[in-house]
Amino acid sequence: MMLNTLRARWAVAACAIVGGGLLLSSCQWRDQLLEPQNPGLIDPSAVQTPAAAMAVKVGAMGQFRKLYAGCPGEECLWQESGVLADEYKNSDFQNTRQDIDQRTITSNNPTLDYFAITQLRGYLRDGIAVMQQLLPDSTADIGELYMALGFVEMSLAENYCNGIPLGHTINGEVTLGPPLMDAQVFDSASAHLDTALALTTGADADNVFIHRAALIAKARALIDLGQYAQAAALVSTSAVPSAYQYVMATDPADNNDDNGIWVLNNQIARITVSDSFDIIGGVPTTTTNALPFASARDPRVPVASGDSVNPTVAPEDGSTPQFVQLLWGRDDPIPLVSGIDARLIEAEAALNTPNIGAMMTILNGLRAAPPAIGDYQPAPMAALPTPGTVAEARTLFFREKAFWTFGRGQRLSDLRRLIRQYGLTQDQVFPTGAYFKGGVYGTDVNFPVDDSERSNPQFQGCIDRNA
Amino acid sequence: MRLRRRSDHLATGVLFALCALCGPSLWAQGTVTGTVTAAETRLPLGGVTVAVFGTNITTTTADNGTYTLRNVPGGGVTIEARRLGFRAAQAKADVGAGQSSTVNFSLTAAVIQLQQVVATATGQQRRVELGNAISTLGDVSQTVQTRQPTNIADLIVAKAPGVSVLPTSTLGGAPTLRIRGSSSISLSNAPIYYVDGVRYASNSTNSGTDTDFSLLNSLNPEDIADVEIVKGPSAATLYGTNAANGVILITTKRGQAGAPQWNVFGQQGLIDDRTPYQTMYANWGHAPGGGPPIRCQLATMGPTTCISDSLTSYNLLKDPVNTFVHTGQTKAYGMSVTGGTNQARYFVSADANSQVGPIQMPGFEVQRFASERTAVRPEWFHPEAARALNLRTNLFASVNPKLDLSVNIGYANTYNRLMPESDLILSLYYIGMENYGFKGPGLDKETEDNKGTPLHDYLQWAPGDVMQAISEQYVHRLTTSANAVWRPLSWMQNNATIGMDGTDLRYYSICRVNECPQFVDLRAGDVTDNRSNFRNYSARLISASTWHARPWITLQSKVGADYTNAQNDRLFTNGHTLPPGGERVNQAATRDVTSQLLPTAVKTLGFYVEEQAAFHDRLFVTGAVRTDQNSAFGTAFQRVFYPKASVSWLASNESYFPKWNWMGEFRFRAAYGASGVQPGATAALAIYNAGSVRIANRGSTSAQTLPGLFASSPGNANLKPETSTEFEGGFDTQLLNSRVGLNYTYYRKQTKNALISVPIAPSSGAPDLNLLENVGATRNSGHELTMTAQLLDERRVGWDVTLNGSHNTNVVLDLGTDPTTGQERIINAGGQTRQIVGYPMNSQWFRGYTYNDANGDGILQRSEVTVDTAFTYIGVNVPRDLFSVQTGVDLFSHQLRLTAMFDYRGGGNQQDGANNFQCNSFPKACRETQDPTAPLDQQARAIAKTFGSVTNGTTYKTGRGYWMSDQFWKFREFAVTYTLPTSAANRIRANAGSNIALSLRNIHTWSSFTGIDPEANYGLSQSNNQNEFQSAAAPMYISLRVNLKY
Repeated sequence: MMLNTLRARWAVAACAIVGGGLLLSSCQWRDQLLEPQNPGLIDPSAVQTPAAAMAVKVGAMGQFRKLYAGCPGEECLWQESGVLADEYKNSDFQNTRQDIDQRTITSNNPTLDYFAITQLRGYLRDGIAVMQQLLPDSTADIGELYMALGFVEMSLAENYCNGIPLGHTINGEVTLGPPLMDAQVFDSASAHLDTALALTTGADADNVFIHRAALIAKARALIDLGQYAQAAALVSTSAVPSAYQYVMATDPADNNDDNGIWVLNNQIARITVSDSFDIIGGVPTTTTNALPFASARDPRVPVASGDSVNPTVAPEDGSTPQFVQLLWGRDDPIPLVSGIDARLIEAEAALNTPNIGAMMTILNGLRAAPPAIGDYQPAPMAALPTPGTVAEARTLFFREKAFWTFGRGQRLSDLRRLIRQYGLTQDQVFPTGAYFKGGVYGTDVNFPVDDSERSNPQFQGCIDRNA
Repeated sequence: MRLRRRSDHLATGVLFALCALCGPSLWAQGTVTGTVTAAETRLPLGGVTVAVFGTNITTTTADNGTYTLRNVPGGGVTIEARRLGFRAAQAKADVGAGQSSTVNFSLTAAVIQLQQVVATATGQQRRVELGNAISTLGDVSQTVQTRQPTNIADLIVAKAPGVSVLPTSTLGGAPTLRIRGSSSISLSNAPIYYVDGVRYASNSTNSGTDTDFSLLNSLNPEDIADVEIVKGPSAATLYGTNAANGVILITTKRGQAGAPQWNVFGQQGLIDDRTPYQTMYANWGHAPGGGPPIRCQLATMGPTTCISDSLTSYNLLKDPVNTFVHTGQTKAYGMSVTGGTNQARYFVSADANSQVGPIQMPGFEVQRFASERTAVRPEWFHPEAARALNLRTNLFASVNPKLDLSVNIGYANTYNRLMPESDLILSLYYIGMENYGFKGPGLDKETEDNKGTPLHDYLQWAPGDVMQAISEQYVHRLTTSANAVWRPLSWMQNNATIGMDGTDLRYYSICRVNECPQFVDLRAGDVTDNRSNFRNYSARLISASTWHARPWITLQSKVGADYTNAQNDRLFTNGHTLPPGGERVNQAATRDVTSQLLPTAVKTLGFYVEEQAAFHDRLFVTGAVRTDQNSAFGTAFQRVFYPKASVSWLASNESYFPKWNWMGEFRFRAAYGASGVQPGATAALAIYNAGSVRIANRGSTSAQTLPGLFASSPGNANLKPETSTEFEGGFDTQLLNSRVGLNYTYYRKQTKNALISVPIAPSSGAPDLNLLENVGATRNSGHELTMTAQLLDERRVGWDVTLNGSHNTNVVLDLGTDPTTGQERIINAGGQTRQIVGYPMNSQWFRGYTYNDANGDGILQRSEVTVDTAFTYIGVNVPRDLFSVQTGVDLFSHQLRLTAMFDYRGGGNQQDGANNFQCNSFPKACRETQDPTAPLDQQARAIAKTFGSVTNGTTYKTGRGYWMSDQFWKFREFAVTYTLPTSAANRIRANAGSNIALSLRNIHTWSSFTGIDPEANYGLSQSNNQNEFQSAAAPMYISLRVNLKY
């Protein structure tokens, strides 16, 4: 019996071995069982044609809009910088968002969109690389990507502390860099903008259009570096007409692709247009240095109470008086750079000459014949009297600029420059004194680089938080 | 290719032909029959497994205790009878060819069931043969009848050592279940589920609010016969990739031979929300120069800022006029029938249940809608509800003595409706908890919302408007399996199982036009209609051969193959601006179809072999290995091997083992095994995302929509599964004449190639700032102890106690080397939750703070709190210690049974999310910001969080004060069951065993936690962090159930 048992056992073992071997060796059958079924996934092999290169470029420019729209949590750089400056106030219940308004920002503030804006650099660099490989003759498109890359780096330096690293990722290989002073980041931006200018020398409409955008951005970077005359030389009226606009757009057919300023101010109502006073303890209290964007009734910044629009807009915190801007609706285009910016650069150069008369000519010229801001056309405004002193002229210039550029990510940089380049102190330019939600304003003049950057071993925090 | 396929089929045919040739009977055969009874009561025992020892010949006794074993080899054989709760018994039988022998058994009760049969990856085995611990939930049918759990979480909670269950706070929400803590830093730590051998989807799915729905909620406790918890890689090796977090095996009810037996039940109950919602305060004051009343904050009030006049308090959710918290209801009805013969048995059941949560529209809102001539929809009036219809059929046929076939079909149709709850605005808890601290108008209170609707002391939105925001989930689920057992030889058994678990899930949310709060443009009408399909296909083949090589050794060889294919596809749609009456996306003026939700499939193909040697049926040595291929692995990684070895030694059966009167059986066991957790379906792939982009035309403000591509993930071709190896060892013993049973287990699990989301510095510009890499290692170890005692077991009374306890700890061993510095990597350095080598996973870091009431006035001001500039480690955010006490008392000759269960959880930290939020956001009306008598430590934490302190010009804030011990004791369950006397049962034409049961669940909590409840859970339920934030405690259920047998 034992023999029979052994025979049977060996037979079964043979079955198992033969069967198992067949199963394991029939690779085709096995591969079919294990074949990934992820239809619709687009892998790098699809990005090998000119059409794909253009799609990557379009994708990068779509991401570029995260300057003002489509950010995680809806807060983008332009809105946040406006809150830290005096364009908006917080009307939300979250402490961390309030901290930005109150100028007491910690480096782990989850509202900061540092990673979103730094990632833009990567998308734009990817776009440049693919376009240069597959569509090298599309100079306007490649130049546009370089212009955007320079603009992003300029925005980083304008808004963040000293100590911004500029790394890069190529084919998945990450290279991290050391923290840089803002001036160094402006230099990097300038270099990219120079490339954009060099690429777009063609006479065709596309090249001319992108070239003008790059000129304005480059001039703005030079202003950030205090090179006023050089900046003005780039954006003369002949080079950049006052009516020029490079706008960014969102999709009316997509409820998730909306003008980010409208979303945060007019829809979610997490921020309210700021004013020069607040009601504190039931008493109207002046906010030192804050401009009266909400109450000035300036045609460049149309504002309405949230109660008066249809449908009404209530603040997210349920208590802060809500004022909503009427410059941009849900999908209205918003200028990245414009002829207005060019004229203001010229005016600031005149201020620094100083040639107050020339400055006033430019400013009053804009007021007399206001260029459109996106699709919004401000009404003409009366000329302003010429200030008697340079200090008064400076105050007037930055007030005019604040209303012309409202909401477009320039105000915080200008307040920092008033400290850095014009010698004022932070409590002479930023909102100061009692804060309407309790306590007093802090002393921050920029955003700290987020703690997430500490994954970069070369980064140990901001070099300083100076203007 | 066709030739190749034909060769595959041919090979398969040859394999089975060869096996069939081996099949001719080698021995003459006979039949064994008999009856099994309980020794104490002498009543017949149904459901007893009777087997010919050392073979695969087995059967189950009918309700009258009878059994028949056919095809028994001739000669002397050993027959064994085993049943849960009884000591196994063996008896010799002499079987003549073609003749029938009779063997009767009388089984005595036992508290440890080493002879109990449990399900394993390779088939059923006796527990004594396994080197690892497996927890079973005992008689699940009895538990369901008496304790009336509403979902799988209720069934499992506190029943097994080392198993942590965080129940959901809301109906239909997703419970969180962890076995032996956490081992994975970046992947899920949830176990996987099998129902009748079929992989069962247990996903949490988005609800549109911040509480997820769970597919586990379509698992009906009424259908379950047995739950086994396979705890770690040492036991789950042969379940392969993805089993490293444990496996929960669910077996549904089976038919029992005998006359048709009907079971009918009806259940009704109440749902009582006993959450201790916080009282809010208002510190009424005035400005130094007079003026209207203003709210003083303790931290900033003073003679120059705010002069306090009076203090009021108000608890809106406890105000019977204003609150939306009332009493909910639950009911369930069902019936089942089982019967048949030993050759063909069936089980058919149907049941339905419904629950209406304790959230109810306040009367003033009902009146408002009536005055507006708006009919209040039932879903507004009760925004939290659930209902389910479950059907099940299990059929078994013994086609011939060598072939058994069974089919299991379960269908569930469930509906869940969640109350509006979100961290944004549309949250009932937000507008109810976050109130002003007084009733009526005044101070900083808004008495109307932004469309003029009275708020009745709520914050911001009228509760009736919030309740108009509907969030619903519909699930149709069919889980089927077919099983064939073929015994071509007495020593060989082949088992094949195929099955499918298919779920059709629909999520629907709507604010109809002119409904809901005037938030954003919701009142224009907004509808979301998301459809998801989950399909899990499973197939398993096992061949087991047993060989009595010598009288003292039995060898068992198993080979198997296992395939799972988990598919998911989704289509998410949203429509905005609805016409009157519009309720569908296609009726909306603007519509979105989310485009980035691509179908996925994760497939695993595994093969395994196992060899077990049993020496004298008391020493069992097992070795096995499984190899897996998986579609989610990187292309550079092909195959993973998982080895396993175990030993189980019933030492007390050795002749030389000391014989003490007070000790019965004693077993040592030890096991080692490996298992894995797979990466996500597309984690290894380099992917571009596609999307339309609105690009302005150059020289114009007009725009066009263009297709865009942008890099999404760089992928990782080297991605492989996270592999865990585990050693566990322990013992089981019976003491004091088998009245006390003790099980102890120590385990040590080490995870290598841990998949870590390695953060990449944002300045890199990388598209994905978290790259999944196999770079980590963790160790997870702990102790588990179960003591079961039958303290009293008399004819009239009985008293039993079960204690479960466990302690778990883990540590990060490796995170790889930072390529830039060459130093050990730290993940999320500078953040609150960090991964650092030498610390536990998800270690919690905060800035500390100190306070000093310098002037001794009992009120802390900003300047009296100082926040540290550096972070310090404070502990972990998951519980480490679990303990439970279950006890039952039988009275009146066991006709009345009282059971109670208490459980403890502790060892971790948890955030008091409610106060953390309420004390720091408008109107900041919590006690510690308003009440001058609030404890100083609580005042200090509010100041540290809201204001912080300034050091060298930098403001430092901390939420440290809101993190505290998570420990609590909970009176979890209490039940009274009265078994109807036969005479009473007969009066209603019912049979013996019918009963009436009263059950209470979530009865009381003892804790020093300052938030709402240490078990309250808000947010994504399968994340590793519990989040107690504007949520409720699990409500108390009180229900009465009648179970009748016919």
